[in-house]
Amino acid sequence: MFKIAYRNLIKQKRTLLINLSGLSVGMTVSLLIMVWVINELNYDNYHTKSDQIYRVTNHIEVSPGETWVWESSPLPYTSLMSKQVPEINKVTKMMTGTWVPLIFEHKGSLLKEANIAYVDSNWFSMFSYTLLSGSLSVFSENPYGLVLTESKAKKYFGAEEAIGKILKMDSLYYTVNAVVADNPSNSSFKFDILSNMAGLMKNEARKKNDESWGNFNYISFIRLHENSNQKLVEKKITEILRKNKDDNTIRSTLVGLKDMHFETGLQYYTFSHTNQQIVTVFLVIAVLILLTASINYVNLSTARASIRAKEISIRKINGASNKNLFLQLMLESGLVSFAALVITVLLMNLSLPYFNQFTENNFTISLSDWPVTALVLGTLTLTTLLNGVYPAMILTSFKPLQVLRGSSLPTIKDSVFRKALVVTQFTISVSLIAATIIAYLQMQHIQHTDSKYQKDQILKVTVPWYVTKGKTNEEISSFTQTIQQTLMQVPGVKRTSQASGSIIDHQSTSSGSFDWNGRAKDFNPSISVLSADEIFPQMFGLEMKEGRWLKDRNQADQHSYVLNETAIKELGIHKPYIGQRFSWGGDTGAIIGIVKDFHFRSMHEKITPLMVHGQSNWRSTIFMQLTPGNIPDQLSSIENKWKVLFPKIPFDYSFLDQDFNKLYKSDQQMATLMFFFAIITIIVAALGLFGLAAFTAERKIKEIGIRKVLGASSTHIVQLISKEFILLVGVGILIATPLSWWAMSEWLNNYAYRINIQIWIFLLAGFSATAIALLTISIQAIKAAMENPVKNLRSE
Amino acid sequence: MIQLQNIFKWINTGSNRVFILKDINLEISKGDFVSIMGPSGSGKSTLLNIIGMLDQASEGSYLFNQTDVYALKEKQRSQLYKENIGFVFQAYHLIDELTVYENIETPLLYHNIKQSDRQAMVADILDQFNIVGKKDLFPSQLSGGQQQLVGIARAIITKPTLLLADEPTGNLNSSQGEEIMELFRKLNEENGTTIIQVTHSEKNAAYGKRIIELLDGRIEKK
Repeated sequence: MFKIAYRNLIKQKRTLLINLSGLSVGMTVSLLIMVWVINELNYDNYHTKSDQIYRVTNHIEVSPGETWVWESSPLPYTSLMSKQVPEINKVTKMMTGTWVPLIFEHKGSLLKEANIAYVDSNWFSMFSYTLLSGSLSVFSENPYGLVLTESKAKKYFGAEEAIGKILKMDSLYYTVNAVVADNPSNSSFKFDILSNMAGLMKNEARKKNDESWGNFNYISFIRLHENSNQKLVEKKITEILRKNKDDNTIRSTLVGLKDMHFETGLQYYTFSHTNQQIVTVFLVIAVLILLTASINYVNLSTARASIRAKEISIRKINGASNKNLFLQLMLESGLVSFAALVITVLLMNLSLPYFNQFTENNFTISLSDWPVTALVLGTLTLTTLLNGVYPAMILTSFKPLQVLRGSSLPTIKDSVFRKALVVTQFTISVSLIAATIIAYLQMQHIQHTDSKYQKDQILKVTVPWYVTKGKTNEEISSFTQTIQQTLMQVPGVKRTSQASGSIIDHQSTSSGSFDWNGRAKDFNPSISVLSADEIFPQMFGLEMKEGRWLKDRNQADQHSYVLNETAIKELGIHKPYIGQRFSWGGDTGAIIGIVKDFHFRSMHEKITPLMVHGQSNWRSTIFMQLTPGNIPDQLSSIENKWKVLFPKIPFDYSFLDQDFNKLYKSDQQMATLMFFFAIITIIVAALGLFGLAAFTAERKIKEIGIRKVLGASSTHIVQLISKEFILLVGVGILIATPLSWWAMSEWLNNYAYRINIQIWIFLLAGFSATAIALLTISIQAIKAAMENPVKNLRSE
Repeated sequence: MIQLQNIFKWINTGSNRVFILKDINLEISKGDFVSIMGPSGSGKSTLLNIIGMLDQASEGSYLFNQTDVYALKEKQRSQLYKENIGFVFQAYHLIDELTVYENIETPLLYHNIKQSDRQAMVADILDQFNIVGKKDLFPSQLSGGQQQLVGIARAIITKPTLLLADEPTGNLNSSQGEEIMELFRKLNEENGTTIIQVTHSEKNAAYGKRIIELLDGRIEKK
């Protein structure tokens, strides 16, 4: 039986090849996606009692209609709630240091570490880590203790023992107390250095500052007792916060640890975070690709059924039972599926490194992991059944004598089913092509929409906040000037400018401390705040609509403000704009200029009100505009100057156009992936069409012969074979158009500046699908048309 | 009308060359009705196919209406074929998915004839063959004799000057066969259509004006 199954498969080499390649490519791609999706859906579930762990979210109403949602809480909050709320079993808090990466010194070299967090002594008893060496209790006791992940320890110490080693940060010495296993890929916590929060509290000034109920700097996690009422706890902790902060509008809620990954509405996300929509999209794509691949298999097998009808009939006449035949066909299907599995595993292993690189994950796939095994086996069983049962049903239901007499071929009966499947495949393909085109156009739109500032040849470096710590404003000003002058000495540096943040993605926003003439009492909109020097508008090519920009040497400009057009409009500033009273943080000054709107955040967002002030102690970002030329040389000269200015800070720069592209990295990734998936899908679909066209040509071989004898030209024959398929592709296009139109409109709604979906996109998608289909089919059709009809019309 | 000179046809199987036709010389004039006879494998069908331009001789020359067929380009030859030749098969070779009407209409499509003309021509021939009532039936709903009538109607609708028939009555009973032969005779005598038929039956062969007997690829008797 096995031998016959093998022989049957080998006999149809083309079908086998199409089945195997389609199925294994489809399975590989959808499995890779599924691995990612499963990982996304299982964030943080590996911690013990993860169901009972929550993070505190705070909702701060800054003005009616505007609420800020923060993941951070005041420092004293957790300990107080742990004392006063009996439902709470355990609390822990963490903070991620500063906005600027911290710098470690090891063996004389300086290293910036971005993924570092301060945690309190409860951290390791709430969250599950695998201890590799050292002791977590020693870490909890040591205010200057560190816990490193395995790969971080390797990076610093190589093969040497890490425990007991000293790392210098700022002016303090830290000891490595423990090494834990790397964070799993489904962990929200991507930190590879954990430092003891107790060390932070040694700084009295900081402690005093953080202990105020007005400062939200710490992220609080709580673990409830089993079967606690979440709503009740939220109510209880809100009361504590309101009482201590003396604020009746503030509110705390809890978000489950496992739901944190898809959380929405926060103003800033510390932890690894994904848009749930994307996960859904990819899940759907995985299913669609698998579906497309499976459809090929079913289609080709059922199509083959009519060709095998004679064999099956003869077997039946010779006494084969339906069960025998069924098993025979299932065995064939099983064999193909198994072979596909082997190829899939191979392909998976080959493509995984690229996939990891692209998704910036560290997935390992081995068949011993149960989700992978379940997925692979599930897919396999499903395809075997799908691919085996239906053809088997069709074939075993033949009336053998009728088939031998040649009167009834089962092809007509099941062709509607097959057509529906082809339509499905092309609906999927065309939808994906259209979606890819739209995604691509939107990306282009964003990157080529004028950001209203220029960003070429501009270098950005950030000076850590502590450099200017404890200095007076005058000292800072003169230091700033020194930086400016020193950097300007480098040949090739055209101008330098300093500001409180990057122009690419300026997040700093404030609310409640602004006032101007005509402001309604309860109108406290959030306004982005930027401190920038005199050169800033020149460097970025900003234009003034009215008035002038701030002057560095003009003392009065310390209290002057420049607003953008949106601010003027949305704040309802009275005319004349210039000279209007404007106060911020209790300091009253005047509006001296209106700058034309520019996009200081990603195009996902609309331009918001912006206020620019001239206080120089805010400025930690240095921009340098380079003249076109030898960039590496310029960079190394700048670095030399930098080393003189900041001996303890590594020269870590970026170019603004790169930063700009980073804003859209996840969009780009999504677009690239979509493009890739669209290609895979259409290849798989075309493969199936190729097989079907070959089959049609074979089945119609007699008709083609007759028609040729009747005078049909090759063109007629090609038309004859293609017509039916092109019709199916056409139906696919018709279904795909509204479907992808709708889906992509939803996606585009994420953008403040979006393209309009135009009909030509669907025409192009339809046209390319048709072209690919036609090309595929005509290979077979032309072959059939060229054949000598006499050969196929012999009746003996 | 047809002049075949020194026609050879062979196929190479491995290193062997198998001759199907050997040195055929044959002349058929306009209005003739020729029956080709001979045992299975004697090369009858191959000869018919060569005359019908569906197959090509390995050697020799073929003049059709004084035109050297083998000197023509593929396109010109198809044109010559389309304008002059109709085929009738033993197994009818109707298209199963098409109705009687559509089957008969098919060659007209390839002759680029207008829809209205096509309708008239098909109606005429349906009438002539007495199968008007069957025009919407599919081949599987007809008897063998009726199918062959449709096959012949289809072959002559383009008014070919040469009708080739490969055992047209082979699948029919004798009375159906006679009916077809009578039809052939009528076509030959009234329309002047040249007919060449391959047959096993002496009785049917006798309908022809002359009989050619083939044996092992050679003409035995004219």
